[in-house]
Amino acid sequence: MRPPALPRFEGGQRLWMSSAGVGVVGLVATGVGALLDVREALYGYLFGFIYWLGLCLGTLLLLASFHASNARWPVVLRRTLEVTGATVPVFLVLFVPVGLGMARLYPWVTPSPELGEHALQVLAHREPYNTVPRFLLRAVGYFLAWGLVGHFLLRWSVRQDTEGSTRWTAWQRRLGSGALPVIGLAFSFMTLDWLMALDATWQSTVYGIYVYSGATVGALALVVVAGVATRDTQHFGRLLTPGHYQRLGTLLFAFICFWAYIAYSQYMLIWVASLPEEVTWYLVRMHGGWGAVSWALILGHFVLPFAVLLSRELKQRPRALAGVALWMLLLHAVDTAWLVLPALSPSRAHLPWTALTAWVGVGGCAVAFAVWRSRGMYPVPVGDPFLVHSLQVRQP
Amino acid sequence: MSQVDPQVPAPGDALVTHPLLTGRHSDAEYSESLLAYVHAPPTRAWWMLLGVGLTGTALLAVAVGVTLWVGVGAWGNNIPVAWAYGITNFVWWIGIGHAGTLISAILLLFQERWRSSINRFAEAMTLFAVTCAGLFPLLHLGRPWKFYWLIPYPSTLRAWPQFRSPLTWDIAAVGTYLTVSLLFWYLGLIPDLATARDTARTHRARFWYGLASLGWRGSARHWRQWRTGYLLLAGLATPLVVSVHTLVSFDFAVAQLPGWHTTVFPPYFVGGAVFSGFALVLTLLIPARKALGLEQVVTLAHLDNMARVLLVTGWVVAYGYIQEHFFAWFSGNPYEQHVTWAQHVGPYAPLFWLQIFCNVLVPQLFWVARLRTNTAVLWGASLLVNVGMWTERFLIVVSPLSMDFLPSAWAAYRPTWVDWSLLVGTMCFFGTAFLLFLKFVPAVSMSEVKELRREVDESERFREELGGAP
Amino acid sequence: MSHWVLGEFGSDLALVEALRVLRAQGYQRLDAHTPFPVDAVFEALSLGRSRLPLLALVAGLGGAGFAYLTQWFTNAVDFPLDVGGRPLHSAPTSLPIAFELGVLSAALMIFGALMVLFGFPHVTHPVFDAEAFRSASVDGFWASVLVEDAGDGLAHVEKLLRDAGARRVAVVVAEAGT
Repeated sequence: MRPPALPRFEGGQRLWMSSAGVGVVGLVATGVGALLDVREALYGYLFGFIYWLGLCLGTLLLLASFHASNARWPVVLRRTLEVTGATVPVFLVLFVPVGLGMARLYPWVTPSPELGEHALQVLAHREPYNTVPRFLLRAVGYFLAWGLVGHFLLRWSVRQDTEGSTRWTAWQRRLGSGALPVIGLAFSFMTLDWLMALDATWQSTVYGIYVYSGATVGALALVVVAGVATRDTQHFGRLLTPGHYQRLGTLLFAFICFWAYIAYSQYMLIWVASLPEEVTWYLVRMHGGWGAVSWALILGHFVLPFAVLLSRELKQRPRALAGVALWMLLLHAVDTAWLVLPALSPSRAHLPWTALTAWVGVGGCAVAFAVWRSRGMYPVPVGDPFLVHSLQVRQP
Repeated sequence: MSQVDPQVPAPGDALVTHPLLTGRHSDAEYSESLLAYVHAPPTRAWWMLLGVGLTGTALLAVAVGVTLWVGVGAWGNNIPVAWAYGITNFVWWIGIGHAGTLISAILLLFQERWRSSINRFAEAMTLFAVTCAGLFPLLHLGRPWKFYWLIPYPSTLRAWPQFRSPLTWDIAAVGTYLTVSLLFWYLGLIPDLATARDTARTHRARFWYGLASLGWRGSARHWRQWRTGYLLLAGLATPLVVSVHTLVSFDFAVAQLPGWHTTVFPPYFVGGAVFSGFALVLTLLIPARKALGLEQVVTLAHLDNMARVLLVTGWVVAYGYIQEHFFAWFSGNPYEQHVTWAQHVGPYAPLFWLQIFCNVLVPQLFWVARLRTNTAVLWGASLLVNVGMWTERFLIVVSPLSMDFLPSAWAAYRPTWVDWSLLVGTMCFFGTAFLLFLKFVPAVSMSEVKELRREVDESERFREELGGAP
Repeated sequence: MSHWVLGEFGSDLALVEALRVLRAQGYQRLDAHTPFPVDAVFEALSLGRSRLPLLALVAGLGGAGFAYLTQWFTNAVDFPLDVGGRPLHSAPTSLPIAFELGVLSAALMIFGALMVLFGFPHVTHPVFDAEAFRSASVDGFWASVLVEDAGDGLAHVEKLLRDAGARRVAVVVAEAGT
C-alpha cells in the first residue's frame, strides 16, 4: 500500500542550465530589439512577462484552491504546483523593464493631448490612483503577497517531507484558503495596473476574471504537459494514473468553458450597450488583422478544445490530453497577445519579433528557476497523509 | 465495488473531524428511518405549519387576484421606478433555486460525496423557488394571459417577438430551468419512490407510489442507463444554472443605466445566487434534520461544507462590490459615481449598510471551524444572508432607477400592501410546497445513502490496511 | 410459457457470484435487481456502454440550431425589426436562447429516451407478482433468469440459485413477448 518511493530529484542540471542559457539569450535579444525600437520591444516584453506570470499565478491560485477545498486527488501533483507557484521572485526581477518602460506603455503616466479632452479629464480624475510611486508600491505589494504565500506553501510542504506531521497539512490548508482573497485581489488589481491600463480610459469590471480564467487554463495545461513529459522518469509523472488525467482534463474543460463564458459576457454586454467609451477596445479587435485573431481565439481557444474534450476516453489518454494541453498553451499565448498587442498597433495585426524573444527569454528564466529550485526536493509531497489516497484515485 | 475508493473521507482519517455518515446501519434500517416520516401519519406540528402556509398562500391568491383585477398599478412601481419588488423577488427566488442545482449537479460532477444526503432536499427547493420566481415576471407583464406573445408562433398579428431583448431570453431560461430541474429531480426520485412503494403500509400508499415510480424494479440494465442519464442531466444542469442567473443579470447589464451596466454582473450574480441558495438550504435543513431525525445522514460534515461554500460565495459577492465601487469611482463618470455614492448616504443607506453587514461581514464568521458546525450560529447567519441578499437585489433594482440621469425625474419608491403580500405569500407557498414534499417524498436519497455507506466502509478499510502495513 | 426465476441474495458480492455461475452454465437471459447501482453487477452481466450521450448531443445541437435559425428568420427575414440600430441578424443576442433550447432539447431527449429504453410506465411487470420481491428496492439483491420451458428447466435454475446461496427463490409467469 505504500507509495512507490521516488528518490529526491537530483537531475535537471542540464535542463536548468540550458533553460537559463536560452532565457538569457532571449532577454539579450529583446534588449537589442529595444535599442532598435524601444516601444515595440516593451510591448513585446510585456506580452512575454504577462504570459509566464499568468502561468505562475494561475498555478498558485489553483494550489491555494486545492488546499481550500481539502482535495485529496491532486496531492501527487502538488510539489509541481508548489515549485511553479514559488517562482514569483523571478518575476519580481523581470518586472524591472516594465517599471522602467511604464511611461511608454501606459498612457496615464504622461498623458498626451492627442487623447482628447474627455480622456484627459478622466485621467486627471484618476490621479489619486495613478501615480508612479503608487503604481510601483502596489507592484511591490502584489509580489510580496504572491511571493510569501508561494514561499510558505512550498516550504511547509517540504518540511513535511522529513517531519511527516499532519500539522503541516493543516497549516498549508489554513494559509491556502486564508490567502485566497488576498492573492486573488492582488491578481485582479494587477490586471488593471499592467494590462487594462494599456488603454487610456477603457475599463471593464470583469476583466480581472477574464485574465484569471485564461491563466488557469494555461496552468492546468502546464501541469498536464509536465506530467506527461516526466512519465518515464523518476519524477511525479510516473505516478499519474488515468484517473488523474481524467480529473485534470475535466478541470481543463471546465475552465475553457468558463473562459468562453466570461469572454462572451464581456463582449455581449459591451456590444449590445454600444457606449462610445467602451466599444473602442473591441472595435480595434474586430477589424484589420485583429479580427482574424479574435476568430482564431473563439475557434481555437473554445470551440475546438470543447469538442475534443467532450470525449471521456481522450481525457484518460495521457498523450492525447497532453496534445490538447500544448495546443491550449499556444492559444493562451494568442490570448495574451490579443490583450496586449493591439495597444501597440491598433490598425493592423502586428507581432514584433521582440515578443518572441521576450517570450523565450522570460520563459527560459522562469523554467530554469523552477527546475533549479526543485533540485534536492522529493518530486511529490511524500510526507502528506493523503498522498496514498491520491495515488489510489480511480477513474470516475 | 471491489476497488477501493479512498476519496471519501472516512471516520479516523487524518484531519477528518466530522464523518459523512455517523453510526452503522443496514440497508433496511436506512430505508426504514428515511421513510419513517413519509409512512407515519402527519404530526400536529406539521398540520399547524401547513395551516400557516395555506393561510399565507391564500394571501398570495388575494394579492394575485388584485393584481389581475387592478393591473400592475396595484403595485408601488411607477415611472421612474418601473421595476421594484416584482423583479427583486424574481431575482431573489431564482437565485435561491440555484443552490439545489449546484448541490445536485456540480457536486455530482466533481464527485463530492457530501451531496448525497442533501441533494433531494435542495432540488425540491429549486423546483418550488423557480415556481415562485416565475410568477413575478408573468404578473409583471401586465396582461399575463397574453404571455404567449413572447413565444414565436405564426400569429395573425404577423409579428414576431423581439429576440434582442433579454426579456425573451428570460422566458427560455426560466422555462428550461424549471423543466430540466423537474426532470432531474424526478429521475433521481424514481428508485426511491419504488422503495416507498415496497415499504408502504397501506394499500393506497402502495398504489400511488407504485404509479409514481413508473414500475421501477431496480434492474441492472435500467440502473446502467439511469446512471448515465443522471450524469448527463447533471452535466447539462451545470452550465444551465450558470446561464440562468447570467441571463437574469443581463436583464440589467444590457441597459445603459449607471449602476446596471457593468460587465462583472454575470459571474457576480451567479455567485450571489449560490450564496443565497445555500443560505436558504441551511435555514431549512437545520430544523428539518432535527425534526425528521436525519442527524446520522446529514452530519456536521455537511453543515461544515455548506458553511465553507457560504464563505467562498460571500467573497465572490464581496469581490463584486469591490469591483463595482472601485470602478464607479475610477470611471470618472459622474452618474456612476452618484449612483454608488447615493447608496452609502442617500435614502437607501440603511439598506446598503445592512447588505454589507449581512453579506460581507457575517460570512467571515466561518473562518472559525467551531462556528461552522454550531447549528445556532449557522442558522442565524443563514437567515441574515437571506435578508442581505434580498436587500442587495432590491438595491440593484430600485436605487439606480430612482436616481438616473435627470435629477428632476428622481422619485423614491414605496411598496404597497400588494407588494408585501406577494413577497410574504410566495414565501408561504414555498413553505407549503416544502411541507408537502417532506410528507410525501423521501427527503434524503436512500439509494445514494446506501451506496455512500459502502464507499465510506471501503475508505475505512483502506485506512485500516494502511495502518496495518506501515 | 416462459417464467422468471428470481433469487434473493444477502449482499452484492453474493449476487455477483451467482450471476457468474449462471452465465457459466449458459444462461444468457439474466438480469439483476438491486437497491442501488452496483458496478460489479454491470460487469458480471457484461452490459455495454450507454448510447445516451450521443443522442443527447444530437438533440442538443438540433435544438440550438433550430433556436438560432428561428431567431434569424423571425427578426432578420420575415419581420425585419430595427432595435437601436443593432444588426437585424445579431449573433451575440441570439446565443442565449440557442443555448437554452439546446439544453432543453438534450434534457427532454435524455428523459424520453430513458423512458423508452425502460419501457416505462410499466407498473405491472410480472416480477412484482412475487411478494418477496419487494425487498429488491430495500436491501435484497436479486438475480432473475428467464426460462423458456416449464418443468425440469425451472427446477434446475431454482436449484442453481439455492446452491449459490439464495435466501429466497420465487417463480413468476413472464408476460408474452418479454
